[in-house]
Amino acid sequence: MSTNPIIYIEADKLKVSYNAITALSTSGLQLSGNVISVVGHNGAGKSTLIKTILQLLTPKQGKLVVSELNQEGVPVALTSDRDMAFCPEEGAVFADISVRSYIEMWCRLKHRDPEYYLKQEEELLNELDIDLLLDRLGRELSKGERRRVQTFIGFLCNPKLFLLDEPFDGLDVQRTDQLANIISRQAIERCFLISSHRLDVVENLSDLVIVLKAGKFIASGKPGDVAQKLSGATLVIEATRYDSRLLPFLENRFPGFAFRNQGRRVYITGKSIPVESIESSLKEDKFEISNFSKQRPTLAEAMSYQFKE
Amino acid sequence: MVFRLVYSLIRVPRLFVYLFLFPLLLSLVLVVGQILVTHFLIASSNFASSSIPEEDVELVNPDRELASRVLFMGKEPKQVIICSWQEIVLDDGRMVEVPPNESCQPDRLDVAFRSQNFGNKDLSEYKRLFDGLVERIHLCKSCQPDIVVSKESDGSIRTTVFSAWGLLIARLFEADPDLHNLFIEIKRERLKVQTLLGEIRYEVEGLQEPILISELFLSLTLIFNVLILLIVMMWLALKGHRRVLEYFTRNGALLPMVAATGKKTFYGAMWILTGLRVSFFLLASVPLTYFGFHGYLQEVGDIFFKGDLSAWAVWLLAVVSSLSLTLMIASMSDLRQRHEAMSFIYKYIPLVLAFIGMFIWTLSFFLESSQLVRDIIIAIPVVGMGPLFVAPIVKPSDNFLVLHALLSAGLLLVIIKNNVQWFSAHLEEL
Repeated sequence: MSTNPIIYIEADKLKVSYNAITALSTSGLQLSGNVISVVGHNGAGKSTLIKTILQLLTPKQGKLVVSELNQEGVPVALTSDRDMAFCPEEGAVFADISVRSYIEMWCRLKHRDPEYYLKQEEELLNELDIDLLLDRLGRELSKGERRRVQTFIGFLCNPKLFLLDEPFDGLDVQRTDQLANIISRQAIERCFLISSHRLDVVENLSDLVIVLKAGKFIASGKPGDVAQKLSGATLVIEATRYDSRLLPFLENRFPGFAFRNQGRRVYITGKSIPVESIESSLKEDKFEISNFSKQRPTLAEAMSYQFKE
Repeated sequence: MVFRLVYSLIRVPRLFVYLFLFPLLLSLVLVVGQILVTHFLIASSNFASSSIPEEDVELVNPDRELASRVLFMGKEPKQVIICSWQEIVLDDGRMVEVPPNESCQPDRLDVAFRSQNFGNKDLSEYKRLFDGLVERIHLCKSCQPDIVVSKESDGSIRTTVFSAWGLLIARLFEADPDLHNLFIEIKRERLKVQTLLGEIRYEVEGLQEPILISELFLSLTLIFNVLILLIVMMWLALKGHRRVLEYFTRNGALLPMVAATGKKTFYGAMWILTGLRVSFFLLASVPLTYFGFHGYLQEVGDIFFKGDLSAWAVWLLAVVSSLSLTLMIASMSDLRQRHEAMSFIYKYIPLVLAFIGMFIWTLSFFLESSQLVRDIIIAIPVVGMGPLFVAPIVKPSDNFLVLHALLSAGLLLVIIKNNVQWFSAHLEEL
């Protein structure tokens, strides 16, 4: 049984809008998790959700409460200044000051000790390679480096909930794995809420996925369950050899499903896939198929299907 | 937490410079510059004023005398002499120019006339102009002291200067003794007219005091200075505040910082920084302005509200609330309509209204309208801003100044209340 901390997100008749445009709404919501991922296409309301949790946006109607259970098992609401940290997509370092000064400023603010990061978080400093960036100015950093710095600062704040906006965007495989490992390790001490388009990463990392579409919560749960709920199943069609006609043929003949091609295989994701009809069509057109099989869709396949829908 | 955030921010040297020191210094430079310009304006207009000391009139060209003493190390400059250079043939057959005698040996601070035919020109005017400033005028084809007057092929005359000292002398040529004497004559004439007419006062029915036309320039200049001080203060408060927030936004630090400290704490810290900037500015600029205009204050004190401090306070309050309201309208309309192509127009609407008000108010004097019309204009926020500014000169009823102050402050509060979300919501960031 996991001993990781859990946060609870509760929303009641929530409506968050920018002037006349409603960016996020739900009649009611109760979720809990340790590493929570928020996924959805651009404009789905992910950033709005994060800003609402951070209490930067005030709902036009209803409320959204993030809490954790205290030692007596009573839920205690978290506040952004005391319990949360945030790393935006672009990272954040003042362009004309050094990374060292920037980190010291945060340490002074949060711990009254500008050297706190050296005393308490040296391991993480080295792991994220921030030590190599300390004497560089903000404007000399790449987007990935800026984000690493702000991620490090987030950990320095010792938050109960760390919110990260697109933390894996633009990272190479090595850095992605590194950050995912750090999050997994740190999840013993704190909770995470991650907004990301890197569905392959968050699927393995999260214990709860929230799917947003046009400002509405359309699914939530464990990644596998959410994928299945959103898209039913995935049919894997394996040809005897690579055939470049296979994917266009299927896309043309069976629109409305999500398709993916990988070598000799074509993956079809969606609800109520007409397996027999597909088999007979392929036979008629003399495609050489060696195997048909069904599997649970991945989150990426499910989201792709959602996008088509 | 608020103070810790302020302290954390200003402990970073670059942030201290950007958020605090730079706007402060910029404002102070502006104030010092404005004081200097005002002094220059008042000094240059002095000949038109009634206060011309008799000894000034008798002093002949002080600039030229001082410059001569500096240039010639305290010695009395000699009378300028004209040296026509001669051409001689050397033993090796080369032709060179030489000065005519020992006293014509050239010096750097002499003047040369370089031309083939300057010898025929009447140089008496030049001689008069250079007397006391240069010792020799050389007429030559190739010599080159620091100041060379040459005749171009199209017949035009050109003066070329080859050193900074030469430039100083060349500038002094313009301080022609005749010109100076002419100024003195004008001063004498004006003094005569002023003695004949005395103080010119414009009596308007309804005003507390007649308008002193004779002191109009000095009064307007000092009002302008007070206004600049107030406008810079408001720039530091409003525009400076917005710029700081934009700085955070531009660097992506706004959201993490607001999230980590809480909205109230963050914006509280920003306002403290703004308050500090404005306070330091006032601490430095008010004494600067006071001592800068010390010489005029007694004179102006008598003209403005007859030295009545409560009347001064009412005027200052009305001006501050009026300017705040105008800036707030401009700032809010600009922010709210910033996505529209013609958004910049909104910024100038208060200015246009103020101009219209000032125009109608001025026109009312020529149309001999009742004072009530002028009082109503002066009481209307924004529209009455122009007449309000010149209230120390025109001295309207205090009641209408108070009304203007109250209405402006009330409107300001309404605008702030109705637009509160625009203060905390930072553009696209939030």
